[in-house]
Amino acid sequence: MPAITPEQWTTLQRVAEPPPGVADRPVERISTAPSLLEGAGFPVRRPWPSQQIGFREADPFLLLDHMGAVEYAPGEAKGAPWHPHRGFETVTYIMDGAFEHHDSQGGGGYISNGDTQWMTAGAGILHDEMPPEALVRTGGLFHGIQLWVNLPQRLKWTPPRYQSLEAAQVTLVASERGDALLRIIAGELAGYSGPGVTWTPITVIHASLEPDARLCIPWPENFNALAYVLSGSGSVGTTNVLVREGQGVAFGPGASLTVTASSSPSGPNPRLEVLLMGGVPIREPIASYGPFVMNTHADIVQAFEDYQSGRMGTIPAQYLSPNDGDAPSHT
Amino acid sequence: MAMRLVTLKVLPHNFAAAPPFVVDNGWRPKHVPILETIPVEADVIAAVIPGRGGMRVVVYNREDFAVTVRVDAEG
Repeated sequence: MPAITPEQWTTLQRVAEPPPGVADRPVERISTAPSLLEGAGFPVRRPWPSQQIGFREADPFLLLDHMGAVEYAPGEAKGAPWHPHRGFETVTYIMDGAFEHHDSQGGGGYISNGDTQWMTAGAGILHDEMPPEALVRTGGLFHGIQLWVNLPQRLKWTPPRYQSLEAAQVTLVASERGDALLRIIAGELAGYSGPGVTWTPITVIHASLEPDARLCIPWPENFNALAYVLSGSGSVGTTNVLVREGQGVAFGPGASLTVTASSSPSGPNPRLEVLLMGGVPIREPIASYGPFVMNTHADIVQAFEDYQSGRMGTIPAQYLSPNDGDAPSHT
Repeated sequence: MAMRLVTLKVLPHNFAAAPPFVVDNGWRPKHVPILETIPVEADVIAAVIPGRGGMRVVVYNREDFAVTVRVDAEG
């Protein structure tokens, strides 16, 4: 997994474990992510929203898609062709392989091997997310996630913006025992801050635990807390609820989080790779339909009408192929 | 690409989605014509947006009554 991983973790700053007596968050819900196809047909696993972890438990997060890990054959790599978003943010973190993206405002970029793209769709944007030509041509490993972060009503109409968070910018710290690596992508953990700037208080961490490692970290009491197992197996919470690849966890209230890696891992990667995330819940009504997440049905209708009429933006001419004479010919 | 005509019954002030259709990496969104409505000239609009399983033709009915809509589900 090329997501930024230093040779030595023991030289990193350590995050102290909370003192005894601090309430550790219990496990409230477990979701085994179902598989489905997205975009042009790339497979994802989606632990939330689900029956077990709904909008209420995930708040301020809306959706998590785990893309891969998949070894594409030549010609097989798929992406998400041009589509709109309004009312929230998409966070795309690529651990292996790459995505290229372009948007209706003329922006674009390349996300690979530990990079994160934090896109605030806000008032609305059209974009695509595609495997680079080389990955399509030769095939190769692809592994990433896309997280949707909600925006409160007062920020739904904020102008779109990008944050390109390169792998080298990610804040790296180690657990107190030195057997877990914490990549802080956004937000703050025990005084260490990640590079991502968030509209509301949020922390997003990719942790790697050596076999049998136990990670216990402080977690703000006013945040919710979620975990998702990218690969490997282990347990969560002080009661050691077993979890494995593809499972999401919603924790209950408390001031610390505990994750333990299996002592006898199986599979090609012996480490437990887990996403840890949380934030202050927004607690506003959610109306969602496809790529639009607003507060009311009327907001959703307006988003659909704005997209259909071209008011949400149009595909820049350089991305239209010669036979696209009528695209995007909104009425 | 051949047309795949589908008929959707759309409740008043509501959405209805056709089944997802296959796209490739080079696909671009295009105008989705409304081929027929019952009653005729009902006020509905259509566009392609991503939904569960991929891209889908979605119709919104602006009327106060249910409308039956015929569209090309291939977008």
